[in-house]
Amino acid sequence: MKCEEAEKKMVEFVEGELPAKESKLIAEHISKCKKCRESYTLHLEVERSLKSLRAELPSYGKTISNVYRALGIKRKGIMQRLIQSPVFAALSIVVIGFVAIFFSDADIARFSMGCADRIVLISDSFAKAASATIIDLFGGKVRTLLAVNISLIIFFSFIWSRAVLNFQRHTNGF
Amino acid sequence: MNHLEDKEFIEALILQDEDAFNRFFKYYQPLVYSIVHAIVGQSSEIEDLVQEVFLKVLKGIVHFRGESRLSTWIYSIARNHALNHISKKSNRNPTVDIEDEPPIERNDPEKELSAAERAGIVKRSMKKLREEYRVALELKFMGEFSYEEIAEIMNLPVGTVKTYIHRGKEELKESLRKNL
Repeated sequence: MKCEEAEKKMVEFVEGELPAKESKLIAEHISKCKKCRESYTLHLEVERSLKSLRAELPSYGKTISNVYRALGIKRKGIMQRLIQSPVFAALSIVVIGFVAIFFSDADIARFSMGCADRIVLISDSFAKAASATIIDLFGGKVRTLLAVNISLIIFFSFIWSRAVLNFQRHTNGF
Repeated sequence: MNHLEDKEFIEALILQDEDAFNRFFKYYQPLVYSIVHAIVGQSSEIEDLVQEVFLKVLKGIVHFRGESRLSTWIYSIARNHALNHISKKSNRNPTVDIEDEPPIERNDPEKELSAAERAGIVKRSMKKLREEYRVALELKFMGEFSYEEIAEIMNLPVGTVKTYIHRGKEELKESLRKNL
């Protein structure tokens, strides 16, 4: 290989982008030619210096904070993010459902207060009716019930996210 | 990068969705910073300029019609903003040539330069490169974008981007050789 040819392909050689065969030829040439070896060292130096540019890039978190401040946007706290998340909404519905089913089997005599009695009676009859309907519908199959639950979570998550987006659409804007 | 070009993603940005903002800044901050840094050079004003570019982008995104890629659109905003800044600065101080750099001082010309000094020479030599070379090099090394991504950002063929980066490196190598 001639020096001219080696020099022409030096950048790609340093980048490691040459096919193995060509790389080998250049490596052999560099080991024999002092001028090309010096050029190779300089190319390596340039490559190393350019790679150190990345260290000058600041964290993007700082830029976000500055932009938020300039736009007057307050970042949501953990609780706010949790409450607004569609998964939270769907899980709440499922938890309420389970609580209702749990109380449907509870001894209502334990609740002495009239108001509590009424709530338990309502939830008891509702849960019993709902669970009976679901069990009737799916023949008591656990897998089917699980699938229905997951589908409900996805459905409510979707409805919730659309509701939040629509709310924001009418209240926000740069 | 494709999902960052979606209509849904842009809509989420308009609605100031925090997750969309996070993804947006994570991807585009290196892009904007690299471009501004390539054009303005090392300056204490870079952070402010980057912030101003993002404010322009976010305020203007409602009008983004998707006729070009979002990254190309952001690239042109960042480039124009940085160029305007330089132009305003040189109008304010016409006697100051921003390209003028003091020569590299060497206490002992016989002594070999350290790696940090060599890196300094390379970085200072970048200012003398053509703007396209500088931007392509900064996007590649500071932004760590691939050749394909840089081609999309600069709206150029991949081959042209490769040529810019190769020529830029060649010129930097020559500059380093002269300073050793």
